[in-house]
Amino acid sequence: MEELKQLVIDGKSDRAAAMVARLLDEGGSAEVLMEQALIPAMDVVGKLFQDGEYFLPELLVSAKAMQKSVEVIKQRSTTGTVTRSGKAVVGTVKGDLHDIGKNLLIMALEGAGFEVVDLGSDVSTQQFVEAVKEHRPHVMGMSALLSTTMYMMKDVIEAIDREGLHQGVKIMVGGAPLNDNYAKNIGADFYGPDCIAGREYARSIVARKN
Amino acid sequence: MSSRSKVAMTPKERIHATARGLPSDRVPVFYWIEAHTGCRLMAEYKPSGQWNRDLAAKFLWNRLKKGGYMQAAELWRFLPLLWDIHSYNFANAYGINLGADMVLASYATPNYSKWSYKKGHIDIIDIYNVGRKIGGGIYPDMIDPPVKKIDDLKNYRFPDATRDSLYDTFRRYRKQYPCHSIAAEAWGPHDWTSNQMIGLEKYMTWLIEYPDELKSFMDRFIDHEIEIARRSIRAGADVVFIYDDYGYNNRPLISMKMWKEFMYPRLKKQVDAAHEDGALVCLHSCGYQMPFLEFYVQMGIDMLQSFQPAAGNDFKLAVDKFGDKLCFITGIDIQRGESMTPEEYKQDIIACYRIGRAKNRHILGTTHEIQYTMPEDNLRILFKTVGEIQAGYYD
Repeated sequence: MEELKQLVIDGKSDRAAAMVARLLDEGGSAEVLMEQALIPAMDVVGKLFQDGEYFLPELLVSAKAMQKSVEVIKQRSTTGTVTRSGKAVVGTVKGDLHDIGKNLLIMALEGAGFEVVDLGSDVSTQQFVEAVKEHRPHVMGMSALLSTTMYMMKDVIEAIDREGLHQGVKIMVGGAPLNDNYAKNIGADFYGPDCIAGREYARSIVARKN
Repeated sequence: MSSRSKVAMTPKERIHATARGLPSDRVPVFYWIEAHTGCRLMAEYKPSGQWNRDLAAKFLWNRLKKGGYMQAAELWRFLPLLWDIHSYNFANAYGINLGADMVLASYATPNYSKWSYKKGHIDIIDIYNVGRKIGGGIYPDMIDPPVKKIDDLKNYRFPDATRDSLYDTFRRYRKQYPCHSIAAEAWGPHDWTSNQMIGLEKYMTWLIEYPDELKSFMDRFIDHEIEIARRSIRAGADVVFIYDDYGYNNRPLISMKMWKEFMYPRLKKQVDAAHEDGALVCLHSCGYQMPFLEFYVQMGIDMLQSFQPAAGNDFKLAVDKFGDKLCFITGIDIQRGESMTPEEYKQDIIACYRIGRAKNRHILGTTHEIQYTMPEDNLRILFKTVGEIQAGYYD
């Protein structure tokens, strides 16, 4: 387990995926691999990122190793899925085609065992509302890179409120032009300065609900 | 406290004196204006004085407004951009009407090879074969990079930059603005290659997985950019304005170790080439910049533009440590200015001016492109305050 964990921390995708396949072949449990190696590995990666030892390249290669490993688990499982700790809906707001922030959050959430519905970029208010209705996530994340598009977040939150959906979902927002004050002013529940902060918030919501 | 020259200077002399730390008659100003904002300002704030431009600006701005900002029809969002790339960057040139000392322009305008309007969005393919889309926004963002596989790094051919007509913008501007500084856009090793040609996520992983292939690609790219800068200078530019975003909020995008390995030698090569040709170098770099400053000084960069406070940059500290070696173009905070009261905005600009004034190397400039979403009162106070600073009210 420690070796697998280290491979993910080091971002060795192919070797991590191969080791997961081997451990499963030897009778290992998918849940144990997730709980004792893959998720803890991404926790270490998150810590290294927050401590300023890891940067985007290191974070991304580790996330890739995690994703490849999870893919192997999915392929080998009878249902084609893995057990998930929580559910999230994530998208970049209407008018904004930038997806790096959103994708980093998705990687961080998946690394923490979340099932993530990726709405993509340039997502309309209605698409966010429909996704919350359909998937009933624990958290919904919105990203924006531009100061001209971050205003769309307010529209989405108002629509979620109008539909009476906000009680069941926590809304987190992030992106370069945002800050904590802006998030509060538009009625968001959380502002994440980076994807790891977003992941920790999402985890805390699931822990509270459980 | 800096000294002021009593001799009246031309805008170009002012920029060059300030970039070199010499006394100038007043603080130089640089406005960076987005196309839609250009339309708005000409329509509602100050006409450009060219009746056809003012008429077009008014028409386009009114259509954009009528469309309800972000919900505006795609075409009305696209037309100001189309106008900008067909009119030698009218929006930035309009900055001179507002009192700017330097105008920013790019080679190869227009720089797309084809565009098509489909219901719901506009697709563009530029001369670098980058597929772009204007979704609900105002920028032609990359959606289809030309470099998809690792082999593409080796096989990709950059467009021919030797055609003389690609540099007409600079000839035109030198004739139109003989006494102003003309800055020619160029790209550093990181930004265009990552965000436009490869895609940021793939590029970031390739930095670790395929470092040698990426370095070779960057080397070819930098040679291409040096060629563009050289020809831009020959056509009339006196500043090479290199875009390369190295930071985001409160931290660099990549480690300093990686930055020194991948970016430093290539950026330095560009800086040296521009200096050999007698131009000043301005680096535009968004996000957190504090750890890079000593290296910018070391490689001889003359000016650093942006220096956004919201990204965690400390202007006072930077001026104290590097203000006698590096000229900062900053002080008009577009990002935070949108949510300030007009009075707060005014005081913020004056405070930045006073910090920059402590050393000679400060050009009062916008930290981002001025956006059309800026409240009207804030726009008015911005230009009024800068005008007052230029007139010496706060000396």
